[in-house]
Amino acid sequence: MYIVLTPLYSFRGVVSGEAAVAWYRLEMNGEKIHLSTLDTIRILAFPLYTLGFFSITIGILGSLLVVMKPRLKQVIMEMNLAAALSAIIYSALIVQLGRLIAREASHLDIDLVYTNNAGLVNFGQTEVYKHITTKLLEPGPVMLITTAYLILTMVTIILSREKRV
Amino acid sequence: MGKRSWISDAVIIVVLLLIAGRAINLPVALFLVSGQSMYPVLKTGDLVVGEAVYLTDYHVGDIVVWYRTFSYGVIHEVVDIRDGTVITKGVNNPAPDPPVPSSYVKYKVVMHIPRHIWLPSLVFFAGLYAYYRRRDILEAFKSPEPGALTVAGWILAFFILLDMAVIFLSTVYYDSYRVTIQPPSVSLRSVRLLKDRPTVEVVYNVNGTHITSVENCSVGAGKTLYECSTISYTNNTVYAGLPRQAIIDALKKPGSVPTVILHLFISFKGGNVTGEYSVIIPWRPLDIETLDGRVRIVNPNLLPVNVTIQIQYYAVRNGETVFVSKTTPKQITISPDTTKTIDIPRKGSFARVVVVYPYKPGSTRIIQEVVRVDFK
Repeated sequence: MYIVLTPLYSFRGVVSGEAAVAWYRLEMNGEKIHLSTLDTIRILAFPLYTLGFFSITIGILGSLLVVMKPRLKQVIMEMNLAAALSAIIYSALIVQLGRLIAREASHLDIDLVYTNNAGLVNFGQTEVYKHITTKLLEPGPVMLITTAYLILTMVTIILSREKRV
Repeated sequence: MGKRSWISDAVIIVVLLLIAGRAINLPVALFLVSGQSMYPVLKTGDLVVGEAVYLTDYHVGDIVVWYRTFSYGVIHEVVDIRDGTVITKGVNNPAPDPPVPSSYVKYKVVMHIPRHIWLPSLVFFAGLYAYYRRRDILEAFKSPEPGALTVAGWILAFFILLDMAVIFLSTVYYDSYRVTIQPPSVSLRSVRLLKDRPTVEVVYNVNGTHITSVENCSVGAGKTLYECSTISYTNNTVYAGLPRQAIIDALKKPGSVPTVILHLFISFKGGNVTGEYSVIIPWRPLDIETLDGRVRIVNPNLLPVNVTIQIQYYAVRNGETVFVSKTTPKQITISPDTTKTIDIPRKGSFARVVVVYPYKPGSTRIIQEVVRVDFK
């Protein structure tokens, strides 16, 4: 959820604004611009919002339910396992979305200072700032996070079974 | 229950086939609209049903789905079909898409389901399905068999299906920035000296911007820089008045084509342009002609010309030409791009009009022209 909601790129200059997986707000010379690719990314990321929301809900409610209704422990564990496995499956999607946004960000790196027959034309440049969160969308960190999530879930399941025995 | 389950399973299979339709080029496929390019005709989140183009024909004005690769595609309106290519355009986009081969066009949109209809319907039918399968679901949640991972399987299947559905339904327009972002641009169309006044007209090709002010305008003639005498502008044109002295300096410069350099610093909406434009200052001899006992002198130049005129009268007697008289040399000034007509009083048989003027402004060399006016 953090990766999806946090801005990945900031733009200053000709194009200004910010872009995250779930949203973007971009302006060019004071006028709002819409990019189909970024709009599509928002839709492609829908499973990620759902999984993120599900994982958080299970994490919070699950902890309460395990204490309040111990017989639901098995269900909660299975839900956690499903979320962790889904995260592994979604890791390819996360990486791909990161690449798509990076590609769009590179397209928005517009340099409008050039010389032609009119002389020196200066409509400014765009400076693109990469936030640290972009690193989290690279294959290594994504695999690391999702695998860690799965391992922790598995460990929790194993530990809870041992206790039951 | 068995019949209900069969119906709901059949509905799910049909929906899955529609979702996966484009992957295997089925006759009908379902697509999810993403982006503002077709606003207000199609909105983000709307669903469209496409009929394969091998079953139907499409024309200009139809909305089609074309895709280059599985993920690279567009749902846009056809604006042109020619030479085996199709040009589409998002109705809300400023520019059309680049032409694509007609083989890329796979579906013609035949039905549009707004998101405010399909989304609540989906939730309703999903609820209905869950209701019909409530016993199975509750059974799975109530007493999950350890190790069977039934709940995990259900949830995993849901997330996999959700992922597949979104990927299959959406098309990504990778190069959308090309048609949605139109950066302002300025290039020079023409620089010319107006015929009727010493003003340079500088015309620009502008796109997505316009002139807001002319910050600096100066004219270089030789080593001296002069302020423009007048400045005016429209959205894409600047009119810069050349100071008289700049023109004189340019014309005075020996041994080269008389030229001034116009320096402009122009503010455009969102940017500026600094330009230097070379302008040739033409200098042509005066046009002198006779017409009905009058002499007409045209000054085609940008500066006034001082002309000295003397009229010499002659008479023809017994076949011989005899000098009669002459007038005192008279100086007149002919304004730029104007014509001066001089009436020649009748005296004798004809008159020779001697017109003397400087070769160029500031030059010591002179041009002397003589025209003959016959009195009938």
